[in-house]
Amino acid sequence: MAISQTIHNEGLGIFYARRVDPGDKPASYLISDQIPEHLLPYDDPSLIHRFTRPEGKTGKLETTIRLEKIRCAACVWLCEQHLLQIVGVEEVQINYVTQKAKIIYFPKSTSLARLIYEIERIGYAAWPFEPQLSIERSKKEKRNLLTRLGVALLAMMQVMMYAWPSYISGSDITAEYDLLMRWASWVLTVPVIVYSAGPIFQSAWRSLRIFPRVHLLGMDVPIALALALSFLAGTFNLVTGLGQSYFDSITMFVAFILAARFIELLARQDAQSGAEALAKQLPATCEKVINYEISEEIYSVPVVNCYPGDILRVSPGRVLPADGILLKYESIVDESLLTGESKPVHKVLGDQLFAGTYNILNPILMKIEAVGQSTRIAGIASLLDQALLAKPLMVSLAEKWAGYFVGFLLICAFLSSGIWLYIDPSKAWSVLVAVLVASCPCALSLAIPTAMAAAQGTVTKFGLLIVRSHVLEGLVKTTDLILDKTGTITIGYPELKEIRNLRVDYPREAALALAAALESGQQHPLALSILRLATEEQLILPKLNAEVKNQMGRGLTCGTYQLGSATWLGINQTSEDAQASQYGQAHLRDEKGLIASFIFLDSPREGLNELLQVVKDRNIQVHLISGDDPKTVSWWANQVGIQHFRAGCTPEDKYEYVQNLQSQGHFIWAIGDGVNDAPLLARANVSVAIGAGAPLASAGADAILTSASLESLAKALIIADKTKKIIQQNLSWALAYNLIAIPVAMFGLVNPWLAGIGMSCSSLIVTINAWRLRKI
Amino acid sequence: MESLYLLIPLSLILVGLLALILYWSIKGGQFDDLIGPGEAILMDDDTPKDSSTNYK
Repeated sequence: MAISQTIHNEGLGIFYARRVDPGDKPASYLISDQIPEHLLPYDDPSLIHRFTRPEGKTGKLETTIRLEKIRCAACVWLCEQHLLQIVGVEEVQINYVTQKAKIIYFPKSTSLARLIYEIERIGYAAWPFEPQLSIERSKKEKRNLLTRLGVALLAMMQVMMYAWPSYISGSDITAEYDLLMRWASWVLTVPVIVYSAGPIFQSAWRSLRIFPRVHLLGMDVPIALALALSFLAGTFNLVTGLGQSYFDSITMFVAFILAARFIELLARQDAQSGAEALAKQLPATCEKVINYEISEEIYSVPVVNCYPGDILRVSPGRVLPADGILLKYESIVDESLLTGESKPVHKVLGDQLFAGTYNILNPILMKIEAVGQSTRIAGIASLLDQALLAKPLMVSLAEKWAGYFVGFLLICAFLSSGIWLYIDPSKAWSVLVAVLVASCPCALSLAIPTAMAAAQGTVTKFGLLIVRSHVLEGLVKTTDLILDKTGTITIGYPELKEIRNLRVDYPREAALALAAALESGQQHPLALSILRLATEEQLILPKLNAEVKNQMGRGLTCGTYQLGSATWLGINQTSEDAQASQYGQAHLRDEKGLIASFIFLDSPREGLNELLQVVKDRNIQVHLISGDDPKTVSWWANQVGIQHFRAGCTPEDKYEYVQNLQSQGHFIWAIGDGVNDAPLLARANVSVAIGAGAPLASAGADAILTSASLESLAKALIIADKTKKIIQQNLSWALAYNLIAIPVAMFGLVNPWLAGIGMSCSSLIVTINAWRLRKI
Repeated sequence: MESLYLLIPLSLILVGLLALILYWSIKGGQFDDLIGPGEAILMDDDTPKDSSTNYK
């Protein structure tokens, strides 16, 4: 593209001009001391794991950087282009809403410090994205904007008070008092211009500087122009004593603009927290063993201070803070977050352990292999970031329009002002200011991002984490819904459903109570379901007269009682029993023989009926596609009222099923959780992965259901409808407003004060309209 | 009307004071959580404790 070529050349030009030794090739230039002191630490090898992740197999690194001082789409575009022309950078994606940049680069050719420095060079600030740090920055950003807004509001109110006498009886005021009040207004306007509107001027200046290369003007340019011109004109008039001073308009204008931006910031910061919440699932502190060889003494340290090679201790019931290898003490670990396998995994010495999994049985010692951004769970979080970074087509179109619009607007402003100079010079000035101020490319550019951000924030709150932004648009267009069975419409872990083979004269409650007593304190899913049922039936558990011993993988022993698998107990399982339970069984026996058999079954996921109801109301066809056996699948299909179903499907079968429907013109929405659903989810038009499912499924999905209930999806459908309506409303308003306001201003019928209100109100209206999406 | 020569500068000083107070309260984090304090009222425990009674 011609523009990027221009930037490329221009950019290199700057480099050559600043370099110490002009003859250097790019590689050695990077080694030379161009990166400032305060950024060098980012290249420290020990920090590489914290801020970057390996990408692909060719030695590339991927990092996410939080950008600041981004004011409009042109800023985002410039950063993208500028980063892309750095040697060694392969891919750059920046999202305006979350202000995060995902960069893939070759560590041999460029470095993290270099990337950050380059962004600083073109006038922005950048920080490597670490969840805790970004919360700090968001807080500062919000506080700063709020302070500036507060100053502007205070000034606006007071200046209005000084201007009030002149509104009511302008001609009756003595000259000295009029002068006094106008000077007081001036004193209050100066801090508003300098402090509250300061960033607007900075961003406009930046935008003008890069205009020769980019041919795209930021939204802040007309605003800054209007403010500067009115302030200078007003001051001039005040000093010379003729004409109007515009200080009341200026302060009000700035106050409204900052108010609109503050509301936008709140919506934007809301939308961010979803992805960060996932990364927050890791503990902040952990127990480190300092001198492993010598003693097992532990210190509590923050996880960020741990590095690969450190030894950690993880107690039972705690979450593992890092990826690593098990060094000591076998245990059982719940890996449901990562693998979707609800049955806990038995870990022996040397086995892989993953951050975010949950230690069940014994305290363990592990050696860290990956920490921070290089853990598997961070990989999942980065997938979320990546998806958030893929722009939906609609946003880009609006940005392009906004860019051309600003250029067109400036031409109109100066043209109309020039014409007025001939007709009636006194009006030329005010017409110029009015045209600049009345038009609002802001509303156009704010229309879609604010609505999407607000909708995403709301949807995240009730448990649907949107990974790719087309989800909300796609839900509205859906014609068919494909559901997986195990783990999706069913919970995927066992519930104690039946107690069979009771010994004659042995009460059922006694058997259950005894089993519960044996299982007390155990974390195994089968144990938990026994305990749940016992608590539900409010049974009093008998006191055991011996210690309970856990034979890992087989069962529990207590005195003469045994509770465990059929083979270990030496019981013959009837084929009927084996069929009836999907999750296996446990048998209770004592020295005399079998007391009872416990059958565990799966149960439907909460909210399933609500979801199916909403879906049927919208005439969406529902399909149940599963890898499970035909009997179970047809039983479930009949149970919930699904007509189309297929059993025994391999991942390829599922994929083909979707393909067939799509070739017939259907728009598919798929929900799944397992590794075997991944191709299905990737292929479907819109897909949702169950949060507790396998990460591979999440990688292929467009959204992740973090809540336990499917009702969130029913709510998401409603929000999707609302979002579409609100975006349409916003766009129509922005266009209509501009079509009316600009001609009116060009004809000199609007004074700057009125135009200022119009512009700020129009932005506010668009943002507040999007705010309506925050409640369902 | 001469009092205006005193009152208007006084009002300027007052606005300055208000801006300072605003700055202080924002810096102290009072505006960070706009939703929490509203919810917190509902979560107050009204039963008086034996050892210490805190009336706010």
